[in-house]
Amino acid sequence: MLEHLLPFTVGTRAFVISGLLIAAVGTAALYFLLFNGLRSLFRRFDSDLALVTLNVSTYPALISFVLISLKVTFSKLIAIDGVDDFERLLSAGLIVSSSYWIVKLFNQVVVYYLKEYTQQSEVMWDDVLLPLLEAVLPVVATVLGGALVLSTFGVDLTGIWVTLGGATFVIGFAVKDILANFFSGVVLLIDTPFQFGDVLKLEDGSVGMLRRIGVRVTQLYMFDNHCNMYIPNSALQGQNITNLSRPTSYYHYSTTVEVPMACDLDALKQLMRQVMLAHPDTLGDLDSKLSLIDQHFQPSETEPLLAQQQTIGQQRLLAENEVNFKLEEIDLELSSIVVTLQFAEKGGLTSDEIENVQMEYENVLGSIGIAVSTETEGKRVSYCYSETAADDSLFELIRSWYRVTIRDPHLLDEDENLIPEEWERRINLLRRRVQRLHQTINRPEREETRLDDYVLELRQWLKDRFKTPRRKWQEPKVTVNGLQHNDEGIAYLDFTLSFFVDDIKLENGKRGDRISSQIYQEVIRYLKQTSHLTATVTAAALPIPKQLH
Amino acid sequence: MPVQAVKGEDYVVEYDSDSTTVKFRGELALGGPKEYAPINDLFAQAIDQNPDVITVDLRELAFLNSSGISMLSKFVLGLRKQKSIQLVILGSNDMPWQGKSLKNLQKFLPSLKLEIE
Repeated sequence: MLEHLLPFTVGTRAFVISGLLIAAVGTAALYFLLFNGLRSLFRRFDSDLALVTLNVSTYPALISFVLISLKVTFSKLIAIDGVDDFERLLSAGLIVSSSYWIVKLFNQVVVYYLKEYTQQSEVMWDDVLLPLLEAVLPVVATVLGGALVLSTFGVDLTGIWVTLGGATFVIGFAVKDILANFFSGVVLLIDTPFQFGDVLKLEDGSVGMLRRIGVRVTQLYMFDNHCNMYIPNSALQGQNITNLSRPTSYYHYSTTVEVPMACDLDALKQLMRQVMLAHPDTLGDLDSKLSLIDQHFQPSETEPLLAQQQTIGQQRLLAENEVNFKLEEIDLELSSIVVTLQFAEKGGLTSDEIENVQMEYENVLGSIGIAVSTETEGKRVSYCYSETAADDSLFELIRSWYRVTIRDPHLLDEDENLIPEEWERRINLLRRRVQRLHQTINRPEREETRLDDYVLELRQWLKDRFKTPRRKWQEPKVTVNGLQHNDEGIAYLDFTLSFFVDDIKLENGKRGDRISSQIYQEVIRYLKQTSHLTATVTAAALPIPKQLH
Repeated sequence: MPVQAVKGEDYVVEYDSDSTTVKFRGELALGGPKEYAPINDLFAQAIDQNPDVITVDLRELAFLNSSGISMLSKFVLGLRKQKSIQLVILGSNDMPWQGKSLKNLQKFLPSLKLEIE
């Protein structure tokens, strides 16, 4: 190509010097374009995707340009001694530069943005596939690059490939355990009986939080000894695992209390129920909890945090109440849209009906905290979504709620990050879902008879995955198990106090133990204050595994 | 003032506070929530009385547009919280729009008593 552009004969000194000059000028121009032109342009973009891509590509692009220019210049000089080897060297350099470029682009651009995507998605397989690709692709690119470099120097690789093929059986046999673990990991991902962050109870009774499923092993963080446990995927797959985070992260606890027969049974039962309800971290009817929260768990010298626990707890319950009201309001609005759609879809939606449904749905978006604006370009209408940041929107109410929640004096540093992260993830998922539905409602096309199903699906998702409403079976319960006798023949009444803890993951999995202990102490404190019950009170606090009611 | 009414060209909505009955007649095709606000106020009054039973008589309502269905469904679904109030809706098979639409309401408020004649 160069010979057509230059007025010099191929192979002359003038031709070579002109070619090198063109390469130098081109490199300088490219350098200026990459470092000044494009960089200042990309800095204006909201997303840093273009800028990061440019930063990663600048030097490999320059090197590749220089090598290609030299190759073009010297390609016509092969007849000269030594040029052939020099050209091979250039080819090898080009392959190394390209391989390096591919690996860098993959690691710093593709993986980075895919990671953001996987954190937002609800499925788990992509969270695992990505680290796998991250580990494997650079190795494959480097090996292939190396093989190509060897090929350019005339090394015959056929023998190596044949040997590798023959060794496959031996290698397969040697790594059969690794392969078994790999495929077990794949099965666990496809079957997804749990998600990252779920609290699992293994067959041996140990409880830990699922951190990651790797190629060979699964990593669990064990609450008891605060360390990581690595279980081969095949061993995990073969176990009966209890997922304590499903269907909800609520965790069932029970405490046994034995009191002398002389006590007032009804008064004691009521007291025990009130104590459990008055604890801010147990589940129960919010109104009842708020009315009782001031009456129990008074601070003492040994328990100075109780005052803060109850005050913050009260604020947290009030904030949660606001969130629940808002969710009920949204549920009502969505249900109303379903009824309207089911009414209107007979015979197809008219433009008035579509307009009405759009208006109703935009009210729902407003309640959630999303404002919609339209941009028109010719015939094309696109929608822009922004957060309203209104104090009474669902998003802001949730943020107020979790901001109060993390002030709980018993929470650990990691909980203070975990709670906002978890809620922001859910907010993000909800935002994507409602925006997608808004676009479908605005352009129903052939899906107009399915719109009611899509709205119902969103409504159900809000209840199942966003925030599960409190149920009656989660209310604290006091049951009388019967009479017990001690060795001296004294009769005791045996009570079981059952309650649900709001989140099993918090406080390194020990939140339930702390609450159970506090409730137990409060009941004992009451029993000690009651003059006619000064007899020995024996009790045992035994957390038992979560039971589904 | 036991009976209040909201009247339009093609419709009349009456609220009898003694029997806590809201009765619809004619054809209702108003433009949106703002135009339905006076009727919504009648429903609000019925709820404020906190009666045992609220009756919505739709037997003589020949047509209701989608905005009207939205208004009616919000009122009905809003009663989910008012567990002490029994809602009765009277409908008619002679009005084609009523059959399926009213049954759909019942899915969201199972305690709704639907009497279609």
